[in-house]
Amino acid sequence: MIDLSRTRRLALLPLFAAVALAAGCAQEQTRYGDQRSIETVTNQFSSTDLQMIAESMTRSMLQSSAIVSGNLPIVTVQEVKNKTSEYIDTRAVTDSIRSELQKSGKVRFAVDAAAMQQQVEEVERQQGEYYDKEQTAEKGRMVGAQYRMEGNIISIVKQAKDIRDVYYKFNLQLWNVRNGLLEWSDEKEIRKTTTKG
Amino acid sequence: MPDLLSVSRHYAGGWRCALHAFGLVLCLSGCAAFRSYDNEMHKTLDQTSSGNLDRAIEVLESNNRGDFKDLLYYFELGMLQRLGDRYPDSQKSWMSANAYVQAWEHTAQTNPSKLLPGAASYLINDKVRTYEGHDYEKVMLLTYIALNFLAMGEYENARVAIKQTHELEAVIAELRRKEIVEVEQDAQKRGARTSFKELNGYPVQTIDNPAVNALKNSYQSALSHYLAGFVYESLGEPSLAAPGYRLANELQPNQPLLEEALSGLEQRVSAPDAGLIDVLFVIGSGMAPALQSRQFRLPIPAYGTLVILPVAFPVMVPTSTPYLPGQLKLDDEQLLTVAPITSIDLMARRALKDDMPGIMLRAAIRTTAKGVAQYQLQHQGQKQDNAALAIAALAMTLGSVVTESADERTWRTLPSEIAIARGRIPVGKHTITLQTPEGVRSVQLNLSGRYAVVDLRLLQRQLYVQPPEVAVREGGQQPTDAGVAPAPSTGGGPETLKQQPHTMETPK
Amino acid sequence: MKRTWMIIALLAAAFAYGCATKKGFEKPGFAFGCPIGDTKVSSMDDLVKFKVLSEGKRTTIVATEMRCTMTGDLLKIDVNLNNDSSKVKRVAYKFRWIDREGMRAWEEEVWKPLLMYENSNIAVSGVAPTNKAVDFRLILLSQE
Repeated sequence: MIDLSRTRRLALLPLFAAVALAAGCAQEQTRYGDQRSIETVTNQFSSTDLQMIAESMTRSMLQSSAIVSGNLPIVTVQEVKNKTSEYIDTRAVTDSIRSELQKSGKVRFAVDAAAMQQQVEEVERQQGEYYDKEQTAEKGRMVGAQYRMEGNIISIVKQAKDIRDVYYKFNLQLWNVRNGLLEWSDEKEIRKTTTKG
Repeated sequence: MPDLLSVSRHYAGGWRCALHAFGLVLCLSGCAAFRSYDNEMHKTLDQTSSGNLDRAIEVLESNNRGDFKDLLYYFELGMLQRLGDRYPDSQKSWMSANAYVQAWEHTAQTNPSKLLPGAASYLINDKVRTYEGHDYEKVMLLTYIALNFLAMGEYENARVAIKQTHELEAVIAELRRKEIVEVEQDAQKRGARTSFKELNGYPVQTIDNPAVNALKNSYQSALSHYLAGFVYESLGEPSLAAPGYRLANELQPNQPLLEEALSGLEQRVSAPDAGLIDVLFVIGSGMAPALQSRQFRLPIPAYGTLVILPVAFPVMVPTSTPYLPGQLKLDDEQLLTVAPITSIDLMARRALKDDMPGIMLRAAIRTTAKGVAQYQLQHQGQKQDNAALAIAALAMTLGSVVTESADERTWRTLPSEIAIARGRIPVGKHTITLQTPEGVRSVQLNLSGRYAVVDLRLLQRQLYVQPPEVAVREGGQQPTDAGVAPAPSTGGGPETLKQQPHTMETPK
Repeated sequence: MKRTWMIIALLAAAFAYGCATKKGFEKPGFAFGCPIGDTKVSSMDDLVKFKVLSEGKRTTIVATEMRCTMTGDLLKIDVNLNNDSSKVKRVAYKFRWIDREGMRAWEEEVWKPLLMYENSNIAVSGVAPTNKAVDFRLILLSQE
């Protein structure tokens, strides 16, 4: 089973162990990194994927006729459905898309469903007697969106002994609220493969 | 919430660290642990089952008198405090435990070789090592931390704990992948046997059976992921809730209740607030199984002769026959289906099964080291007919028997089986009734808000209830006695949540 | 005399310029639709050399063609990348957007990874994030 002659040195084990443990106590270093560098620590959904999706969707949407020909169209952001088995914060993706679009100066955003509660509460609060009636936000003055943005993300994950392949497809759509027409839609695909060893 | 995120102390000054290391190693040869965790916990668990939580905690404290409290102590203490509805105390204990887990996670990410079986610290008897916790215990710790936060109405903090479980699971997966490869290679190199099936007399079927093998791994539980789904849903994040429910379904397939959680998600999120509370009942039963040290004689071939050395390995022993009711009755009218979601018993078995190759490899290495010493003493004794040496050899053999016992440490106050029930019920007072082998038991709860989690724990003679916190603070709820239709949980005091436990979703 | 030479030189320059674009007509300050300012660009190679930078680890992947156009009021760029090695290559690219004053018109883009098979071409395109971006650079980084 086990050859004893090879393991004689184990008698010195405590000493080795002490040295090894002490060596393991080396000081660590933490540094700042490039927040836009390519992250491939694992093949789960990464910061790079989030940034690539947001960038590619924004640039594509800016070319859509609804935005090019519209006069500062008003958009509301709805849910991007997560159909993967991974905890992907799709709201972080839509938040990035929204800020990029907003910065481009070609789109305006109306309050979305998730933020509606806070909006309503603030308007209600301003109706109170402590506020200057001249300047308070009146009820019934909010502007509805002309377009709504929604989408979904799916993944296909395949795993064999030494390889793990993951494919993401992010789909985003811009719907015309008034007539229900699909004004624009685009996809971003990402494939990542991890090999072991 | 800095507690949950702060991990420091472990990487203190180099000198202090080296000193610690040296002290630890000196201790290894001298103070061999004679501790039997199973025996030690017996009284604590007995007191818990009888409803004497204070006494149970006293016993636990008396067994951990030293200044250094380990992870296991905090595991158990936090659970006992939680059973007594002392959420802030429980949370404090578990945050201390979490500091250990976070430090471990950090090491697993930055220096994984320290945690693999080849590392020097792993060549000493398993039970002398600082307790690291089994993988499933670490994930359950964060899950229960989340449950504590939910009980205290801190949904955002619960979300942080839940998110940590995802990260922890990813780290564990990566480390175990490395470990399997390393153990295989190392064992091959040394010619050591790592299959427990070759261990003569080992009760193989306790850890190798279809139910154990059906688990995807030892650490992912449907409960953790379902709870993740519930927390994200309550915070109005359906796109994060969906994978939670989806993974729960994958981990515990064919449970209609779990499938409904996913299929009905959108509808629930967009449903108007009709004064209903979405209540999740978590029903835990029994105590987690024990690890007991059993000896198996391992022959070590040496210099042409055989040295027989006793080697102890841990064996999984169930300690209770947990009972889960099929349904839960609400106010004598509504019946809620109870669906089993997670079996800690099976997870513990699976963990032991997955650990056995590493345990056997380490045992083989240690035993061989002892074998060398023993052989040399015996050999010289025979040659020189030196009685003193022969006695020394005998003493050594006896010493091996005494010191060689397996690591019995495992989080015992976790429930053995966990089930859930879920329903939308009106705000206000409700009576919940359960059928148990010891008779009918019921509790009264006063619920408010839009989401609530109620944790019930069935032990032999006890039903512990962990409702949202305010109910407890104002009532001093007592565990109910078996058979007796129990007193209202709060003596009639108001048990309302003072604030709504989450940011409200706008009715669409 | 001096004036005659100057006219001839100008004519020659205009002729060369016209040939190079192959489009027959190009606005001044543009080559293949791409903004070049005062820089002398007389061939596709010149344009590519002018617009493509390498940062960090160098790659053997080269841009062989580059064309620009406007979509709405946004600058759009198409670049052909070529891998003429017999090995699969990994590279990352990003565009850097520059405004009228020569300042950065947008924050740094994310590096976009690309896998290129042996002896192959890939066309990548970029659209300016804002109409303030009137010029650009393409940046390549080896991912080997």
